[in-house]
Amino acid sequence: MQTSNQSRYSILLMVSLFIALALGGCETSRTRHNAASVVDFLYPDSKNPVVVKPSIPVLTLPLRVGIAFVPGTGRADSALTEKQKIDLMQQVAGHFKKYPYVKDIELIPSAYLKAKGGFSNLDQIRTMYGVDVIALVSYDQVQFTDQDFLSLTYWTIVGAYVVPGEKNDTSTMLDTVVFDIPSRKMLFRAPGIHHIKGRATLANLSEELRLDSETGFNEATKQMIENLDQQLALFKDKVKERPQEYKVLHTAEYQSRTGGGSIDMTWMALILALGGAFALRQRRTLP
Amino acid sequence: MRMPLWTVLLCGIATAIYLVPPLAGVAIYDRDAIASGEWWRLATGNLVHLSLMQLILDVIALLVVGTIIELRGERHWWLICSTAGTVVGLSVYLTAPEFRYYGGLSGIVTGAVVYLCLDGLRDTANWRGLCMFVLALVALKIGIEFSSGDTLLTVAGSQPFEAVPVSHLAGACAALFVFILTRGKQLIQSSRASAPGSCSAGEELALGNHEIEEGKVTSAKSFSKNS
Repeated sequence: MQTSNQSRYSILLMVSLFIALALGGCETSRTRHNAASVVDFLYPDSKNPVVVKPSIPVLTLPLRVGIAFVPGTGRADSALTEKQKIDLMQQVAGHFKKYPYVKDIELIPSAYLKAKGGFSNLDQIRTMYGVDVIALVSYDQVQFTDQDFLSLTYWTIVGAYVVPGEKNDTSTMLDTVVFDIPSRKMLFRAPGIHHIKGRATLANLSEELRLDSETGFNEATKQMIENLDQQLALFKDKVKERPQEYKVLHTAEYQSRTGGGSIDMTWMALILALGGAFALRQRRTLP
Repeated sequence: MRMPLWTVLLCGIATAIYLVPPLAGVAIYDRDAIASGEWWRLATGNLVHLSLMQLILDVIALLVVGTIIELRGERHWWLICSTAGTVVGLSVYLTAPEFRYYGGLSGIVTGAVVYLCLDGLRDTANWRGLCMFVLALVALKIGIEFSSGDTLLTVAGSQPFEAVPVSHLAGACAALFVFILTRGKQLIQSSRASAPGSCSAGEELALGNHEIEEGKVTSAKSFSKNS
């Protein structure tokens, strides 16, 4: 009997301690959270949502594509400076410029996108830059500076992603959604996720978190580019398989594209080096 | 010194096609025309050039590589050119449908360089080292071209065409194929000869890339031995 009471007491004590620790954790919880949501930007009125019915997109190749970061709200924008955003967008643009069906990629400065601007804002961008397709980049970065229940898992606002969090961890998620502006149709999307285990001590906490934040965005961008490549390949297949859902037109310019086999500087240098070495060898071997 | 006939002939045809536009119209790689049955354009497209600078660079490169190959006594030079040309055209047709037109000798030049260097791997130490170095650079260059989608440091500035990286890869693959086809037997014999206990291993290796017919060694033999 006494043993039973003791064990009950022990269990009660443990539960109490656990609750106390948990509540204590909540009170001292500090989490740096920076986010910009594409859903908030495109569909801002969640109470009375405007129903936008997408029509069949007509993609005229080669495409002029815009790329922009969706605006955050309030303090959320402090995670990335405008220069960082342009750098990240350039990385993405640099990778996709090589495709023959992409004519231009315009980097849209954040100033031209209004918070909760929606499709009317995208129509303005379309008129201003002459782009038909836009890649909207959203992000969600959380830095857990303390360990608690809330930081054990975190539901990103970008999408249905649960990221784990421990003390001083940095979880970054970037997400690119590609829309055909005239038809309001989402063509494809790809995320990039990166998680950095916390290494900071109290002395260098602020600096380390800042560095982790930068690293998180850079690494997530790399992963996002890989995923975009895969999604683009899948999208191309989808366009071929479902011609009733996507119409593709080719401009005369695109149809008469000309390719050439060209010798460049490195090629010419190599060939001349071979020729020179052969000539030298011939001279030595001649009697 | 013998005259590199095939090389001069190829460069002459490429120049003539450039100077006489109606010839270019008949020879150029035109995707629509190929689809309607004009298959020769897959190979002859390599001989058409789309700018004077492209012609000059391609002809210089082919003259240098082709001359070396012919002076080394290579009997299969015509096979390398025709195979590489056809494979390049076919590869562009199959993998780059976005291009309606294609022209340029650089795919064949790439094939020629790869063949020359593969052949040089069984040569004397200095030449072998250079060939290994060039092969490594060719592989690196093709890899970079594929990842960037463009050629490195295009010398001619803006050109009226877009680079097609697959043409260089196709030329290199065609050269590898012709090399195995024409040298495969010799390679097997060389490896057998170099096995322990074979008294003529060293000599056969030194002579490996030169012409040996019915036990009679051509003039290339003395050249190889001296070098």
